[in-house]
Amino acid sequence: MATKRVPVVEGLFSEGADGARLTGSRCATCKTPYFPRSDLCHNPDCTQSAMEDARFGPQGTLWSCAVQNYPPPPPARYDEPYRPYALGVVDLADGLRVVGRMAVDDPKHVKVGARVELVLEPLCREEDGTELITWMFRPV
Amino acid sequence: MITFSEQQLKTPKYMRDVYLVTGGNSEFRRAFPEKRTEELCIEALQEACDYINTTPQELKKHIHSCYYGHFADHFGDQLLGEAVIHDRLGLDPLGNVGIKTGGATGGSTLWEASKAVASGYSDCVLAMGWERMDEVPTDEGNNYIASAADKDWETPLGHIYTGYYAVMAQRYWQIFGKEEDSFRRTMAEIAVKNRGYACHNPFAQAPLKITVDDVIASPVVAFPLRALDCCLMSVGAACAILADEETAYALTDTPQLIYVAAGSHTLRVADRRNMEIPLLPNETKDQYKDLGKEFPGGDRYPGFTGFLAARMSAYYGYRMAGVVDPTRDLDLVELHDAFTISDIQTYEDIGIRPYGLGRTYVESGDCYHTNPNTKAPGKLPANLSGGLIGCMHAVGATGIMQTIECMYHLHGRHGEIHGDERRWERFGKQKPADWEDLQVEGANRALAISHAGVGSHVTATIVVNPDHRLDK
Repeated sequence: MATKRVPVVEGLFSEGADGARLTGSRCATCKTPYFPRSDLCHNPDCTQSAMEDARFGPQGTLWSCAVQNYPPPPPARYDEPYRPYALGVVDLADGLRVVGRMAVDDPKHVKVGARVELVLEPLCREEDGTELITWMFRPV
Repeated sequence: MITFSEQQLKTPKYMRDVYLVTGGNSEFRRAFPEKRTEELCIEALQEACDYINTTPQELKKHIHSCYYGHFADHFGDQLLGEAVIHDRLGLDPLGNVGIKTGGATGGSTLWEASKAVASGYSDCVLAMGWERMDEVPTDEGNNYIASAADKDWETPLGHIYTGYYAVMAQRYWQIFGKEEDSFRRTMAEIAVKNRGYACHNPFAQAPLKITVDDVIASPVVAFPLRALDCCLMSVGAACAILADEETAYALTDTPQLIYVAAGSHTLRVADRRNMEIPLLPNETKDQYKDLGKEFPGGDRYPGFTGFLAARMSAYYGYRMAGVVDPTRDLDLVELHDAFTISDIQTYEDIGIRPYGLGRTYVESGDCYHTNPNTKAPGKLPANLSGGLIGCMHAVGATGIMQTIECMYHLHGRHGEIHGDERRWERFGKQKPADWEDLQVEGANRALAISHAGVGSHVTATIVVNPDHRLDK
């Protein structure tokens, strides 16, 4: 039986035939991208807020990165025993800058400036084996 | 690239001058199991009364509305704690309001209070801030702190504040610190300086004589930040009385002008859009055109290494008070040294140094009471109270404590307040044999920066001796 996979938070990402994408929005007037989705354009220069759904990713560049050495407090979820993970900030080719975990075995080996791609990976597992999925970045 | 409208960038205007009449701090500690919150607030109010030789009963007759800074109801295990304090101070039926802007709560409380006087609504107001972080166990406390991020989507993913600070610190460390040992040592110098100054402050929670090597040997929190690079968690209270000119001079012969301005910025990294650097009065348009050459990767402003909120608070505040060059026009500053590296970032955001050169404020010795290189007085001493690293961070009180410390210097009474043996004794402390008076001689203008989150809210409070005002 295939493992059940559910998003840890609904509405933030999707997986299509073209792979994983973040789901946000873009203002049709000034082209400013937003993630997560925004109902209103935040750009003070924009003449008319006109939000449309948009998908972002998968290519990007790692801008900064740090290791989370100790477990984050609830409601954050993780599998026991806790394993330190790298939290990255990535400039996506679409012009969006996004925070996300790094999908790597050893967080110390992540290099700023590296090309990365968006992937959907398990954040943790429920008792029944269901995987809670989030977006991450994997060096390419 | 975004730009702001003229209306957004207008210099804020008070309809009349606002004066700081007096203020006071309680003692600060990690925990006060024996003291109720109102006792700490009353202690701060009593200090403020003693300072101008009056009594709470007399002072309260002048107060017309009240502004209370208290960030975390959860920590105090008391919803609407402001109303409880207002009641216990005996200030009913005056209008009162609670103010919450995270770590900047103290500064924002002064911001609201100053506008009440400036508008003419009240002639005299109380601004009181406190925090109580000793009522809940640490793991529960961490949970509450994490709750200040966006619970809809950030916290469940493990994207928490400390993680944001860590990636920001990493970036600044790599681009502007160039990962140099010398930069790491400069960061450590701030931690040594502020804990050292706390040794001369009877109110301070964590006086400590340490060395740069001690800081560098302390445990890693999130590289390059180590335990001794980080600020305190505290319990305590601070208050200030603001008034119009007539009331101020009726209460004291030496009130000081006070100007408070505020800025903000989104927590969402993805929403920190590229923009032209909003320039402070001492900066020029061409100044930053080569920033990307000098510091590759440092040219996208504000990126995630500058605090736009701090920049905007200075942008508005300096113009309100007529400050052009902070190093020349101010005599001391109290900065929000939550972390040594964010302290350096702030030097740049508020124009003490240009972007990329924050470290030189420490390395030149300008930030010391006495410049260790030249033995002359520091050009712009910073955090002589000990700051958040050495004195306290009782969130709602912090921005007010900083302002009161500035006030002592402007009155030339820093030594009188900090050196009084009876105060040391009352706090159950031994006044150090090598106690030093850190009074900044001839101080006429000072600045306090109060800062929240990863730069979500920042206020700039400028206190000025009326004989040395720059706005007229």
